[in-house]
Amino acid sequence: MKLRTIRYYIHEAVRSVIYNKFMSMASVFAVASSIFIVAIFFIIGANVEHFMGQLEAQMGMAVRMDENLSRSDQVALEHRIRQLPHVRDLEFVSREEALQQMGETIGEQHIRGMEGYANPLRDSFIVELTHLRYHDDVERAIMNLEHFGVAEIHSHAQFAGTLSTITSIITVVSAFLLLILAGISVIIITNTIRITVNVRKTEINIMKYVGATDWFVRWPFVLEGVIIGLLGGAIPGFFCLLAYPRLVSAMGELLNNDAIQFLPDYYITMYVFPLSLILGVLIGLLGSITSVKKHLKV
Amino acid sequence: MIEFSKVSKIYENGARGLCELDLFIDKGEFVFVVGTSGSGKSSLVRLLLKEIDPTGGQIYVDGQEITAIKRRHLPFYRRKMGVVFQDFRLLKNKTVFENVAYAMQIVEASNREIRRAVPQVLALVGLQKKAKAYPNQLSGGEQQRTALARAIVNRPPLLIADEPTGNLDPDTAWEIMTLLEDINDRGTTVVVATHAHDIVDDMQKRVIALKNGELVQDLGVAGFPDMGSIINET
Repeated sequence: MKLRTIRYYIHEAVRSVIYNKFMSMASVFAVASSIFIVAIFFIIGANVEHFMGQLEAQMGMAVRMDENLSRSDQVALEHRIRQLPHVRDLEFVSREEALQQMGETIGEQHIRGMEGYANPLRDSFIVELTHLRYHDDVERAIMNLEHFGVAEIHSHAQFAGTLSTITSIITVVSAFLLLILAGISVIIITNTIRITVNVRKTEINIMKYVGATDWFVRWPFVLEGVIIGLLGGAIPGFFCLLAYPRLVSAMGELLNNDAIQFLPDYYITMYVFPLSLILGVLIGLLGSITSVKKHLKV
Repeated sequence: MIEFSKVSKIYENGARGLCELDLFIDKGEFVFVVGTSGSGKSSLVRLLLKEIDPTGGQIYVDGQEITAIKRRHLPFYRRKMGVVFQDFRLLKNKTVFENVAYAMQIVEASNREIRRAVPQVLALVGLQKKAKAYPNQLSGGEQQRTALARAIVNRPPLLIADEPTGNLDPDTAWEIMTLLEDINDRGTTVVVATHAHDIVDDMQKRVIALKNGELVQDLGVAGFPDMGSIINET
């Protein structure tokens, strides 16, 4: 393909978008609104998963150690636990720190007199898992380390199991809904683009009679579809880029709860914006190629 | 240039387009194809354009058996001919210049070639001052002249005109016919399917008359005693 032919295709595509401005606008808005819905759903789904991840992280188990375990044995035990599969992180909590945390939770007056030797608590490790579904496996593995200084394990086994099931259900349901939503969007947009191409079937017929090859006819339409798709993807993409940080900040103030952390802003820049553009281009391509094909058999 | 050998066309609904038509048109000829609606002249044009395929027989254009042409090679076959339709079929979002240039762009002509050839051909059809006009700013005659310019800009050896004067007033119709004659004088084979009795009578060219898909008369350049009656008979 010659460079001037490529220039011609691009020129024709841009010109056609401008010339058929009303149909182009209709297609852009159809693409934009559909991708907007998909993007919103995607952001909500991703945030829900993110919350679940945070909850899971907080659902780690506390491994209490034997009282007379030396510092070097503690380090050895920590190393062994870290080596276990599905353990993401480990945090040492001394008995003093544990008492202080208890005081903060139940009230300082209730722990008065428990300092020093009277402290009934033990040094422990807070174990964070890669996923809650491995809770039982990790618990069993740690129990096997009994002779290395593990005294007891304190966990929320039942709650962890329920939370793990809920997370899995949410993941599957959101993936399924996202797929349906994307499918419906593709159908709506393909039809919109098909209408715009149908209006121009005479134009395509003329091109064919004059001796244009299928691809010579198709390329400007394909590029037009890409332009429409890009514009349609950029609108919700930019909207999310601008609105998300404000929405997160407003929600943060409303909930006034540090425990709930939303996905950071860069998540939109890194994933949602490019995804919107890619989805727009794919839809534009699909819509234009399938729509033009019908009229090429002249 | 064109040879039809026992060509038949039966449409899917059973309608007969052509019936075992034998026809030979030599290079450089100017031929009228006449007949009433349903006589088969549109089928003949559509077969020549390879818009449809015959149900029997062979068609040769410039020595090539066109029924054997594969779909992907069809555009290259069509580039050998210029086509003019009754309804002009111009690209409405392109100017006169761009409509004519389009035929050159599809053969990947250079911009320099386009800038040289298009004004020449527009001057030939008398539209040099309308180069920047859009089709909806032109009269019917001007639109048909644009279509003619587009059809001949690549200098095809064959020009097919399907009812080229059907939408035009008599004076404009004559202008178009005169242009077609000029193009023929430059060596292009011209085939015109038409209903226009007076033009056919006056131009004194070869006339092929069809009726119910069959050739009923093939009159040479000389001897057109009553062209109107021949068309009426068909």
